[in-house]
Amino acid sequence: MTSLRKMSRYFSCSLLVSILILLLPVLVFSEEPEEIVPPCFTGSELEKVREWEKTWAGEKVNYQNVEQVKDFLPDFLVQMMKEPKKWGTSDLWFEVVPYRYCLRSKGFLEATKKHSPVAKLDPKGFKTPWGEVGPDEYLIGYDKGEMAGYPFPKPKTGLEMAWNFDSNTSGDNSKSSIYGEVVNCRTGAERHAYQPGNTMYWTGRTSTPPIPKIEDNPKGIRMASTLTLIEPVDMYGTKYLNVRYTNPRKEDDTYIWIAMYRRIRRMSTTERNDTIDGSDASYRDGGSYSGHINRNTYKFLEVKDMLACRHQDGDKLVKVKGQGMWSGQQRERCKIYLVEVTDKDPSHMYSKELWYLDGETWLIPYKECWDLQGRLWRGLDSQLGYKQDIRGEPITCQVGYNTTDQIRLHGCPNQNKEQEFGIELSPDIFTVKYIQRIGY
Amino acid sequence: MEKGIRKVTIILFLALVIPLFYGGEKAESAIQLMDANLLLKGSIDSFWILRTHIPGQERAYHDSNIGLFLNTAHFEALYTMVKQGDLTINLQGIVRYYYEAITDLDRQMHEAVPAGNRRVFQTPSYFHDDPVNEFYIDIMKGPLNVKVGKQIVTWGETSLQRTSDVVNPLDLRYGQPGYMPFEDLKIGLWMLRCFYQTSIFGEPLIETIFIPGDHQMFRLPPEGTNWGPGVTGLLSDGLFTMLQNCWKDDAPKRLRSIKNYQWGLRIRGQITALANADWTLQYFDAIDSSPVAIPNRANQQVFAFFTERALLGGEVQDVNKVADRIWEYKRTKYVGGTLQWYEEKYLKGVIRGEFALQIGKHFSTDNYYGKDVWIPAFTYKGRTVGGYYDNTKSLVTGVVKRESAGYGLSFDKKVLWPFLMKYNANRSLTINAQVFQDWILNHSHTLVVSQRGRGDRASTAMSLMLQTDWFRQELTTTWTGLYNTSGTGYNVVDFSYAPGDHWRYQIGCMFLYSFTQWSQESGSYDKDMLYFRLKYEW
Repeated sequence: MTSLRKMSRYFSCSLLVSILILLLPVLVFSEEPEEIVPPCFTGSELEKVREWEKTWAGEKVNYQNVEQVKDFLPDFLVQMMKEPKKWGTSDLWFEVVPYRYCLRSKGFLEATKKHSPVAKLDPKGFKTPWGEVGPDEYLIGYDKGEMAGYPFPKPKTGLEMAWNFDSNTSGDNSKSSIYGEVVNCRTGAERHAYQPGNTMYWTGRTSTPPIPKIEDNPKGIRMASTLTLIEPVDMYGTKYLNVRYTNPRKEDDTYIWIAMYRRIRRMSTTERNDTIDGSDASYRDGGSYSGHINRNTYKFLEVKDMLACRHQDGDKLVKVKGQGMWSGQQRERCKIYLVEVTDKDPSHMYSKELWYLDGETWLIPYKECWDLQGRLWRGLDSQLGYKQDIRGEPITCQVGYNTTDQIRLHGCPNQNKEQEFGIELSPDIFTVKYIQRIGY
Repeated sequence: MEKGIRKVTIILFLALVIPLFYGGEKAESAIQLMDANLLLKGSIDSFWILRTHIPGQERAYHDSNIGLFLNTAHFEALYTMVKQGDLTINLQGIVRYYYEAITDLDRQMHEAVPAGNRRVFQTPSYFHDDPVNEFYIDIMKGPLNVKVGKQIVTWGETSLQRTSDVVNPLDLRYGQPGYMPFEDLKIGLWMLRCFYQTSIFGEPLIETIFIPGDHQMFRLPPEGTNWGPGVTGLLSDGLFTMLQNCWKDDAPKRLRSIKNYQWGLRIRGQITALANADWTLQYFDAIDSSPVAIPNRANQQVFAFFTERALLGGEVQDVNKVADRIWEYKRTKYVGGTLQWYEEKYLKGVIRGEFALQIGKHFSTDNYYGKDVWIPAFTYKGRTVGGYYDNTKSLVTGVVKRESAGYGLSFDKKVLWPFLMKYNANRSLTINAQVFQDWILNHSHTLVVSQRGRGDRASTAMSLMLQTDWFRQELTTTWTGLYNTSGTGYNVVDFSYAPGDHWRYQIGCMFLYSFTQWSQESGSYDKDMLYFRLKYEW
């Protein structure tokens, strides 16, 4: 009897300890990385980063000390910081901040857990008006809206990383306003831009009901976005509507309401290669890349330890008049995956691009583009930040970005403000009839 | 050149050049008041035309080569009255006041334009030209949208010529298509405009327009002004002035009678099955904006003109009207449509088209046939020895109804041309090609038809436009060429410069050409010009 009691007491204690041990990670690490989206650094690597941060976190990096961290930055950025006068200022600087894991919303993580095990690329290729989608390029189920979350949380190829990038839906429904300048650094002339817009995803939805897709979608829309030009003043009232389809055989439908002509005009895809309103970004460069994933070929080059903006406070971005690039970025160490990207259209304006993909969010904090003559033409420095949607779920999104023309020395520092995520939006506002009605 | 004009020219030149160096200030554009419910924006601009050549006979009527000096203040307001749920009510207004100065500064031109017509030309000084070009209330609720007030409507897809864009008449006194968009030339009309977004198959948008008696005639440039008939041509010595005064007097009185109504219906939709194309179909029941002559009265009026001018030595304002009404504005109907299609497989460009059938277009007829010239239906050549008009010899013999059909087709493509891209920061080159044709069905030689040779049943025009920009869209360069197979055409080269938030500069040249006698007599061939615009907008 006594031994039985002892045994049961012993068993109960063991059970209790086991339960505590199991619960401990949940209690202590509820804000810690999810295994399905592994963090950039763990274990000894994380310790090394923390050690490095003891010297650098809080430090201001400018032309005087950028050489010491040049291995953590893209070459074009290092060069710009060494020659700030070319970019309209006496000093270009950023601040080093400690590394933090990028949180994802519960819905996004659940979608990733559910869909990634079954994510496969279609072994059959097919033709499209703009070229061919080869075997093992197209994500099965994408056209039916059956994929959501990261399809490849631990990707091995550039294409898989690109599909991860495409899966970011930033709260599914969002609105944002672009405030920016188009700066000629040689002359100091600036042209102000103010462009509010809305974005909505029909498929791949993870946070805002209906999840994972809007059922009533006969046209097979993947996502749609609108943009209204308030400034510059001569473009006032111009509205853009872009509709992208899940089927890569269908080109994007892009419409512009031109207030001056009071007409709705369709845009061809060549126009998507043109820059927007004199800036250094084309429609294709919107959000770092705006286009169907299968339009490009991808080659994974390497993974690097770099400094990038991932928890940027938009209010910290500063510039003086005539400055073509933000100062005040908050960059932290992270793992960046370098992918060489080539458009399948040989006459495309970029001969190649280099995407720097963040290993946790699969967003693009840096991008380099080469022109048809093989010269480095444009550099993109994107400031990713941490926001919350209306339900309090974390969202990593672009809070600012800076495209620069490395050849002609001008830049477009922009900020995304008045951002709201996970809001209610009516699909009606992404229709031609709507922009016709609200035009004058 | 007179001293006064020289002084003004120097001042304006400095006004043009100085802002180039100091005008790059950044400031807020579009003033926002009342919690951003009221948006105000506007512009002031000065537009000059400098003629490259003034023919010898006309020289006496000009102190300088400046053909036009138009200063305009433009003001827009958008007020959001209500925004609740799916109900939005906006109030939109556009006011435009202008002063044409060269007819005051140039003494010879001042004398060449009859006083009454000059005053009306210089400023928006009478009811027909009120400064309010648009003013309407816009109510949106659910699928319904109602706009009530003075509005400009765009129903066409092409530029340079209108086929189905028939609602608003044009004011051609100060500018021409080619270097000005139609929307800057249109005259607003008071109307009720309703849109209904249906949910049936294809989700067509239905639009109706009702214009309760606001008829506006086409505004043609007065005699003696830059775009008007030359003072030495057929329509000279005040004849065209008298005709214009008659047209105005005889026009339906605006907003005085509901029987001068006009109405239209338009349906807009999309075809997605075969080609992703946007289409519209439309019907418009209108009163023609240009009149036809009542035969006997028109002939008598012309006779009265020459009696007064040639025999009695009077001025044009001394010519009395021989009857209450000399000209009539007839009703007509338009049936038409448009198409816009992005052809993505082969052409990779946008095709736009419009067509229209005009039913019951009225034409004057005359008996001046046999000669290959265009003449108006009111020249003096038909006078008999006895001094009265014999119907067999008179020029305006009657009024007939005919149908006419036409179409316009436009193709737009942007190309990436490596040679050009080296110099313009990899911007694309826009190529736009258009063709326009129209036919008068049951045509005859006795029909009086403007802007084409006698006997020309059809008219064909082709245009090509090339456009690109430089320095990140600060500078836009455009070349437009148009050729009409009846012997006219023009070339326009335009440079538009927008360096900052507010200042805008435009400089260009327009060369017109005519290959036939009739087109030379119609008065445009000698209007080659340079033009300049200085604008400040906010």
